[in-house]
Amino acid sequence: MKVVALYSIKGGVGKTATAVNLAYLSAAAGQRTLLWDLDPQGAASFYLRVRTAVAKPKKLLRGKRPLDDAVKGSDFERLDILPADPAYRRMDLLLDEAKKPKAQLGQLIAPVREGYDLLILDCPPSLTLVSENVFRAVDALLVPVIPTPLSLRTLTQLLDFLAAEGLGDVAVWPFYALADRRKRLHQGILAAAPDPRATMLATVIPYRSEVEQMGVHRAPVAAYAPASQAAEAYAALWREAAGRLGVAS
Amino acid sequence: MPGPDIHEIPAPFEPAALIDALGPGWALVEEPAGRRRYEFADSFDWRLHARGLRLARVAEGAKRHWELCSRDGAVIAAPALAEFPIGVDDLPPGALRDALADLLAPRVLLARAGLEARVRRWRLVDGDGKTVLRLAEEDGHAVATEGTPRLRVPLPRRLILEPLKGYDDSADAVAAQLERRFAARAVPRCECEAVCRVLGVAPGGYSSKIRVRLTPELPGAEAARRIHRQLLETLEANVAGTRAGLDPEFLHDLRVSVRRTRSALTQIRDVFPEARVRQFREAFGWLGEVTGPTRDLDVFLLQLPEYHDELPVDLQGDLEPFRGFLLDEHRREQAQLARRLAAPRFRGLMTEWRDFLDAEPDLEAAPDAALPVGELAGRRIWRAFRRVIRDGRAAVEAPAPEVLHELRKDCKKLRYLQEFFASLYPAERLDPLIKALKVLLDVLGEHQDLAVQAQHLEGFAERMAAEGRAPARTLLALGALVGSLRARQAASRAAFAARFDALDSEENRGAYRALFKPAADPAA
Ligand SMILES: Nc1ncnc2c1ncn2[C@@H]1O[C@H](COP(=O)(O)OP(=O)(O)OP(=O)(O)O)[C@@H](O)[C@H]1O
Ligand SMILES: [Mg+2]
Repeated sequence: MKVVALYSIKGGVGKTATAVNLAYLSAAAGQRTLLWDLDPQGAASFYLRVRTAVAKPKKLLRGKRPLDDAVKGSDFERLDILPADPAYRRMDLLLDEAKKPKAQLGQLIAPVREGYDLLILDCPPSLTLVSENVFRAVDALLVPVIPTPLSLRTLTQLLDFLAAEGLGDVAVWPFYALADRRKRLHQGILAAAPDPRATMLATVIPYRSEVEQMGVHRAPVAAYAPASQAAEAYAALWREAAGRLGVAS
Repeated sequence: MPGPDIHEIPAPFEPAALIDALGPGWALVEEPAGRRRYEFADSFDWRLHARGLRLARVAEGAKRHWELCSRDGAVIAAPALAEFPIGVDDLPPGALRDALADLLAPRVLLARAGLEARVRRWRLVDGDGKTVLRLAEEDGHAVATEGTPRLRVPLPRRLILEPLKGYDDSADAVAAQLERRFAARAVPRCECEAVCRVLGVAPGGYSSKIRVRLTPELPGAEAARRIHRQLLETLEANVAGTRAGLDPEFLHDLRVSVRRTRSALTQIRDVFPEARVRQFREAFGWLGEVTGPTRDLDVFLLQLPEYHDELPVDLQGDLEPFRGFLLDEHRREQAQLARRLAAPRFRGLMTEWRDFLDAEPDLEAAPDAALPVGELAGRRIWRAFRRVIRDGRAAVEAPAPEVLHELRKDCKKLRYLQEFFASLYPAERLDPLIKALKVLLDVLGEHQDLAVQAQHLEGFAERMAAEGRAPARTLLALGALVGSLRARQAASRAAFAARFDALDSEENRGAYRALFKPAADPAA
């Protein structure tokens, strides 16, 4: 099983929208896919019509309840979701109590490795103990970056942090999201080279109203607007990421 | 992944009635209908069935997949591409192949029975618009996949509930309503059983083991006739698969039946007219001979991976020309064997032998024809055992390969006799004796196989060289293999004495004496 996370320090950059669409595309390509909604707000769960559950993270973290127990089948073949839990707000505290607080997540997902080909983590914004666990558990971090100086700066902050923590080897794959070519600021940044420490994905996810519609349809874009530009952009992003991960696209 | 819940329903499913029963907040969304075809797959000897597994190739439109269910309800799904017969290597790599590999090889999967159905489908959706359960109604026929004419038998209508992970509660609620209000009846997942039943196919119906039921007072000729008939049935059951070359086990089982038949003709002696015995012995001798070359090549092809691993890494690739040679030879021999098994000589033997076995035995025609089999069996087994002991003791003194080969034949005869007459003795007393003998036979068999393999390898190498098909390094590889086979043979020779001692123990001899020694016979 491969593990990727949609991660950024900054909020509202399109992590959840991307996580849900990539998970859908992965399952459609034949991979048994699990999407873990790590954000207590539960946006990914909402998009897939799964109620945020009382997953009892305390029991989960103490190994008293198998992760698999809390998994729900989505409406799409091969795509399952581990819904968010309001109690994830206290996850940092729980992790801190554990013996190896930075390696907990990796241990938690070990039992589902057999059952899935790809695990996608949708992370809350911020840099916390939870994110440190994520960094240690993934094969790659997918980082959406809005083509603005501020958003680029948070990418640099992330790379600095990883280097300082001895996690410089973690694959970081940024990509531009919410890009609006009508904005001069965006045009300028899209043309320039980003931080050389990360290997940027070439696909740019444009700013499109179909993506905002996800909240209305409560489904991945491809399920209700398969021919749209946004659906095509996510498909291109998936092919690129799948190629790098070595899974079928 | 849990398996689906299956219910038989007496009348066509009515979605509106189920929604009424479930109450507000639920909806059933109809999905496109279609046709589905199941082919239940197993080996000729029902290896999956014996383990409580059910494998189906499910086809719907252009989509096809495998579904493996076990008794506890676990399901493995995998894409299905190959056509029957399907070997382990034809399965896609993954969980399905892993689950079947050790169980199945070298047998192939055959389609044993089929089911064709019209399918109507719905999704059960909750108040959030979330799908929580898929329903499929199947209305169809059991369809024979073997034999002609194509048999079609209607089956009861079924409703299949496939709960989504984490929503089992909804499936339970629906199942309860179905049973309460729609006279639905939960049925086992293994519809394969039901399908086979209506088609008259008996899962597990084939076994190469001897299972003749005899009673001690049965006249010898009648007992021999029953044993031979079962051997003939096994032989005939394997003819079609051998001719088609489906997998090497058909020919193997066919040859075992031939060997047992020849052994029974000699060992259960003086029950049939002498002239007929001689005639059939010769005929089955011929059959044993003409089926030999293909079997030898089968063995080599099955052994190749082992040979490969036995060689030093830098010589492993050089086996490839040998493999090509074997495959060519095999193709030729197999074609000839198929022709022979369709030709008058073989067909005539089968008819004549069956006619002979179908006729009432003449109890006057041979000295022991009327002798009760209880007595006859003891006498024959006791004799065969004494011979094994006599030759075995000589072999311990001087374990030359020819001596061990002869001893192996003695042991085989004894083993076959025990199998033929097993039903005459209490299993708890016979089984330990069979086990002790088997331990000895294993080492003797290994010794002999290694000798034969080494000898054949040398022969193949010479022929490849003569035909100009043997690169020097391939000959080197074959030479290295012959060397290691001979070394292993020497090791198994060394292991022989200890195993024989167990058979020749005071205790074991006593057990044989008590069970088989005829009252009037002089002591051993
Ligand atoms: N390509 C896009 N085009 C238009 N709107 C988008 C696009 N991607 C995301 N959005 C919208 O932007 C908002 C934030 O997106 P999203 O929730 O995916 O970001 P996020 O990084 O997961 O946010 P958070 O950090 O709060 O978890 C949402 O309202 C979403 O509908
Ligand atoms: Mg989010």
